[in-house]
Amino acid sequence: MDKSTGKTIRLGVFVTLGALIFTAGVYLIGQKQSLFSQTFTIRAVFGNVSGLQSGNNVRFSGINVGAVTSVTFINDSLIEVRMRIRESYRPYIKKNAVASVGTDGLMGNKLINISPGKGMADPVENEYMIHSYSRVDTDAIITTLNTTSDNAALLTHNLVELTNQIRSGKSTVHELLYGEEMRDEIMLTINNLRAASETANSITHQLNQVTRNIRQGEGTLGWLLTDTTAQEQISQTLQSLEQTGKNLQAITDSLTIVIETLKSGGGTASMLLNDTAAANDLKQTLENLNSGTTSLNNNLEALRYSWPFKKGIKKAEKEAAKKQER
Amino acid sequence: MKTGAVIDYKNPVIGIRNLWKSFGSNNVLQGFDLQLHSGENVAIMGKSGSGKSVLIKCIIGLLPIDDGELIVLGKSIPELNQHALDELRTDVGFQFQGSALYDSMTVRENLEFPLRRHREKLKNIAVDDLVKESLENVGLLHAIDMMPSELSGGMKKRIALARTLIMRPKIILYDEPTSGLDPVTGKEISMLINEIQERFQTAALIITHDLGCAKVASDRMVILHEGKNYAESTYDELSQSNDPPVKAFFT
Amino acid sequence: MGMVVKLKEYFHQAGEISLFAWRFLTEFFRPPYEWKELLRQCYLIGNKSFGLVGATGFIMGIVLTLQTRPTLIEFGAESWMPSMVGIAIVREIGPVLTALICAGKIGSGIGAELASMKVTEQIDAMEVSGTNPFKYLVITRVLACTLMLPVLVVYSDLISLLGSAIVENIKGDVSFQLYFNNVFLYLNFGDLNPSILKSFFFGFAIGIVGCYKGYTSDKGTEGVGRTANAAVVISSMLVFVLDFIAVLITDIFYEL
Repeated sequence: MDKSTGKTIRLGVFVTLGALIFTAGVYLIGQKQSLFSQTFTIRAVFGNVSGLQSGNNVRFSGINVGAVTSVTFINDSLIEVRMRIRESYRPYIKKNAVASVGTDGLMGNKLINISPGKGMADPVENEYMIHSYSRVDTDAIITTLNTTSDNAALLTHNLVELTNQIRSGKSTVHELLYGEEMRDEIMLTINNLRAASETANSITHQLNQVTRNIRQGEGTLGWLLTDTTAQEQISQTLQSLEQTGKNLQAITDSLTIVIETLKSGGGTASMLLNDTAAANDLKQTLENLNSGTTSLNNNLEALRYSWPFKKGIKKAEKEAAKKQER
Repeated sequence: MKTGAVIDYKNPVIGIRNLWKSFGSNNVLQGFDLQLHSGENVAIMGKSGSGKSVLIKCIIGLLPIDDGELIVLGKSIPELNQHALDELRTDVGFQFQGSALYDSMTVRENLEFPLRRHREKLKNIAVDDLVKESLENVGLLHAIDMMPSELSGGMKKRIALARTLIMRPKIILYDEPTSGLDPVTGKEISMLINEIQERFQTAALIITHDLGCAKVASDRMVILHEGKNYAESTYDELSQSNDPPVKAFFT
Repeated sequence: MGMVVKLKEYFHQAGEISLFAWRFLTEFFRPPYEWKELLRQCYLIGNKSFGLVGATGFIMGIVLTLQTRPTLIEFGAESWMPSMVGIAIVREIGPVLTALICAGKIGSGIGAELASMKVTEQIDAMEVSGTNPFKYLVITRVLACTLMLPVLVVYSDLISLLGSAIVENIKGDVSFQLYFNNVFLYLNFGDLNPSILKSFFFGFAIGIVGCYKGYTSDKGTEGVGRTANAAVVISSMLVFVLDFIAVLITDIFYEL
């Protein structure tokens, strides 16, 4: 009797431990789901992973294909993300695929989105490093725009000064510029420039606001940014905006040189302005400037109505209106 | 003293020699010996907890024995497999102390239950007739569609007896057949046991501490004391004994 | 009672239940089969619990819907109500609630019935009359529990959804057709299969514990009540443990 009781107790211990080990095993397998099938590893390097952790999902064109296994620094500004991908998806992930960090759903976890690249490429291999794509850094654009508008403001101021001098002065420059056409041109340019710089300023302000909004409501707007289409749209807009800003800067730079030259006056200036070629050059420059500012204006207007910013901009306008009322 | 019983002393149906049985450190049976002959009623008396019920449960194979020889109808119980044991049990009836009627079944179903497994033995007889005949034997045909909970204690014992008899056993083991009954009903049951013995020529072991039952129903008495067959003889002889353990039963 | 004694007792019990379950498995395949008794038990177990399971399921459906509505309305997501309640009921609440009700109703019933049969020697009587009581009593009951619980779960699921639909119909402007369309739009076999599968195990656990407790009861008449009580406690506990394991396993196969 005692002997059989001992045996039963031992069986009970065995069964209990067995159940515990089974449960633990099942749990662990559940944790590392991808262990259940053959997997391989791919890597991507990011500058910023926005809180991505190991265990986050990896999606390829919207399908869960694996999980992030590690997020490690490779130097002070780059982070390597390793992903375990199920073997069965390997044929579809090509070497030109692009990884980006996104958010799952409205309030979800971070995840890695892998989008197929354009054109043909071989399927990825184990340990292959695919390209990564960081979202366009809105901060950088805004900084550029700020500089541009500062420059534009300075330039306008200089131009006004210069024009005044030209108008009142009896210099060779005055004589040269006495023609109505030229004066109108310059006036127009100046007006345009002023308008442009004002718009740029206000847009910059609004952009700042929008970015702040985005940052604060990361989740709410985040989903927009996870969506590849929306992402591309935004990034295109931002890129063209950046380009315009750069162009404008280039133009204002060259104009500044001209004006500085004019300002320094003296023989060089008159010599320069007497020269028809030089005058033509100036005219050309002014025309370029003109078209440049117009296109900036257009771009900024377009941006204003581009949908992701609409709300933010409207909000800013409302705030402005409120301020005015007061 | 009893008429009608035909006892064949050359034909033992149960042979027990040096039977040992213990539960943990509690030695219940310590070398028990007994011979039961064909057609004979033997009453076994003993104090509560002396192992009387254990003894007959060993005989029917409900409890495994530790040591000794236990032969029922020529077969050694410890060596039988489940199937052979079931076969043997059709020839050995067991009357439980508390009747052990199946609560969830009617009287009819209770009586039919033992037949379920042993149709081959009784295939020529219609089950329904058999049930009715058995109930008539115990005088309770009218109770055929009642539930056990509607029956009195004495009726339950009779129905249980009818259920045992339906298999036409050669041996019947009675576990306290008169316990829990009033003296009159107890006497009726004792008479019934005798009647069965005479009519069907069955041998029986009657576990009891009811002296009246032992006196009426037994041909021979066995005193179970300290796990052994302490004394065995007729009722009349034992009642004259001066041996204290034996005498204790008769005073 | 010391810790060691308690542990010993626990392990002893766990071992005995395992042995009992093993005996069930070995005897299950050996003839003779008690078909008639199995059908009778299926009828009894299913029938006995039908009303209770239906009533609790109905109330659960109503309560769940009433409690969740305000939160969903706050999010402006009332239209998600049917799918949310549907998934909650089908995946988890239906099976576990039904299993617990059955542990209380069937588990205690089996425990008490077998214990009283044991005490009044009815089990011995069966053995003596050539019927294997384990087959006749235990196997039929355990099998009936295992087979009937999934049926009761599906039934309870439907009643719960009905209760939820009624609330939606009265409180909101959702027709029954829209409600059930919505429920079945989001519900798939990935939700239903694991829950049905685990119901089989719940049923088995309830049956085996009830039978073990009753079949091995030996404490006399007063033990019958205690047996029923222990059967309910152990089988309810087992239901939760099994549910936990089932959810972990389901996670592997369906979340991926």
